[in-house]
Amino acid sequence: MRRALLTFLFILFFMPYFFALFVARFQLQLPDGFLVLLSRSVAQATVSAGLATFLGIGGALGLLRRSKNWEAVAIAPAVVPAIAIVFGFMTFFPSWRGWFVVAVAHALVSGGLIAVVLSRIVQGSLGSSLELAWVEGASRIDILVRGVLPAIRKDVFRLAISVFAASLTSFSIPMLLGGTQAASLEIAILQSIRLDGKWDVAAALSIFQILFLLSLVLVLGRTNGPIKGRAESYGRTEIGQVIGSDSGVVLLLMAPILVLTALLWSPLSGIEQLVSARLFENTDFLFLAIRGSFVTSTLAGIFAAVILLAFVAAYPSQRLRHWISGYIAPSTAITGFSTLIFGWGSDSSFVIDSFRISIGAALVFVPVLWRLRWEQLLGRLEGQVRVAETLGATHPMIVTHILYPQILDSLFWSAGLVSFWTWGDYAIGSIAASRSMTTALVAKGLLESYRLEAASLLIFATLVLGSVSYRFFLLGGSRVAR
Amino acid sequence: MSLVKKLRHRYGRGKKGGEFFIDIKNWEIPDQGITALWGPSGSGKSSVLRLLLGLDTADEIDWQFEDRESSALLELGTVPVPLRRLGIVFQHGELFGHMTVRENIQFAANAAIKTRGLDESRANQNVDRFLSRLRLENISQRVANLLSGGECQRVALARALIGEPRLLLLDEPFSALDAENRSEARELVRSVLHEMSIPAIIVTHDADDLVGFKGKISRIENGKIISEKVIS
Repeated sequence: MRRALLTFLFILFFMPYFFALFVARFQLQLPDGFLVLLSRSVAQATVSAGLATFLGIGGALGLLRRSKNWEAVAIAPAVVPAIAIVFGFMTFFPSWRGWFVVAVAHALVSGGLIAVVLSRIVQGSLGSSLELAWVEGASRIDILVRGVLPAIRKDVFRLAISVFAASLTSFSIPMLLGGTQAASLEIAILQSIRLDGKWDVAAALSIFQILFLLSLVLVLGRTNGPIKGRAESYGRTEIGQVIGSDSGVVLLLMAPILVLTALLWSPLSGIEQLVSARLFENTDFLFLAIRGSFVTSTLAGIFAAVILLAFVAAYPSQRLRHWISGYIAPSTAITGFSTLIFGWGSDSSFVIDSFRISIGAALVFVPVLWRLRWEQLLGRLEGQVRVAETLGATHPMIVTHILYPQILDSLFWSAGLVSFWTWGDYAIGSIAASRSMTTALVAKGLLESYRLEAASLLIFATLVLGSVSYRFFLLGGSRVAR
Repeated sequence: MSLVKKLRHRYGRGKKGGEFFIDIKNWEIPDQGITALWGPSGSGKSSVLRLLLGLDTADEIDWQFEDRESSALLELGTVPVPLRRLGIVFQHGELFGHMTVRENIQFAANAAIKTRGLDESRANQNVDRFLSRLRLENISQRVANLLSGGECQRVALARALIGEPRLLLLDEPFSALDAENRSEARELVRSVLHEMSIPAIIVTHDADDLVGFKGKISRIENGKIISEKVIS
């Protein structure tokens, strides 16, 4: 049973690569100018990681002086769909395009998350030693330079590597902000299939990308586990007030202010235009898009939950843990194209397109959730599983009595998050669907044609309805748990 | 009598060669009473326990165990983990946090019924017996996450004993308890094991655990047993 599940999961997650290889007839061809493309992508990812780290360290100093509620503000840019950040950029910097703009956007997305992790490490695992230094008379600068920075050096490096990997494989942000030149390998994969029909190039790039990331993990070590252990939530302390800095808060607020101001910039004129039917010629189109988003996001949440349940049922498995941890970021472009296998040869329909988007979204978002919560959660339960094994419990007993009851909350939280992200997804949707069938896809079209007022309304509606969908899964989860 | 004729294991980077981190030969474990595996932190005590349990797969293991019921000589190191019929109590109990005290113990009973062929009525009797013997009746409906350290250890002990293990392994069972609870827990463990006449290995770094101790003390350092002594 476990072996069958492991095989199923392996095939499911590598299906996109098998598909690309199959369509390319097992021929691989790196594109002309590959080194230029690679250096541009690596430069983009390196600058993203550098800027995010800078924002993260500065933001962490800000968080040390604020209440824990500020953590939510800091994390928000990493959790809201990328379309919100993209919209902020397009509103205030309409002519900015290229890999550097992409890098700045990535930094704004990830900086707050790094800030939260680092501030927790400083307050938690370093707190008492810093307090000791303070009591013994060390100055603020001494504590920061000699105490904090050397102690968090490795964590900072690992967080930077995480941002580097995510930026190298980023798809949504470079799609709209990258300009004509591919700012990431993912965009090059998209262009090689969509513009040139060169599957051999796309397959070669996607396989290169995953091997590159895998080697990065093998050479530099795993990117998260030990950090999370050190970054448990911790109450605010006096030492935080001493070494923190109010100006760090400004760094944390940059991304939320960018998005919120952009969304509020012209809603009144947007509504006015909507009422006078100048925004959309046919408002029925909107309701169809909302229906499409609702169906795809709900299905994506359900698929993600099923895949995560399969992970749990196959747990604990060293092999599973190794490959899902090494499988840092799947190729979104290849995953999107591989979903075309569903309904292959038949005319695309609402049902088929919804299925394609939702399975693609689940495959792309589950590895993110694994790093975000599941690796740590299942790791925490491993001791109980081992004890149950020594007691003589069978695997089905362990799964049904020990694991499932303790992962239900996280399961529905994850399904809700996937549903929220799918509401905001335009990357997979623009590949897998043959029409603008979701609100995010319609918003993407509006952004591309610079109809920003209309886009602001739709993006606002997408975020609100996505949040409702997230709550819907959470409520369902709490009912099931009861 | 149980005899660990050979137990050798390398960890991490040493996997490809070099010295064994754990290297134990001809270690006798009496089939009555408690054997203390005593040594400083990092000496390999807990690793030995994990290797005996099968939680880590030993590079080389030859463990002959005479089954008291059938008198058959078992090669226990090759038996799958759930079928070794060993009990374990970890330092922090590792209780199933979402279950009540009774459910924790009942889960172990059900597992023993299913895989160890323990008679169902006897297993259910054991549940009530251990709840009473380990003074858990009053808290039997309390969720495990809400228990104190001492209560956790009592539940973990009941859970480990319910399936009538061949050998009970205790990994620093008292180190997470405060001084008052610790001496009480020591007495309780010794008396319960004596009553049930189940042999046990207790791993400890704390010399206080050996005060008033009767049984065999094996001192371990750098993964090797360097001296043995029997206190009667």
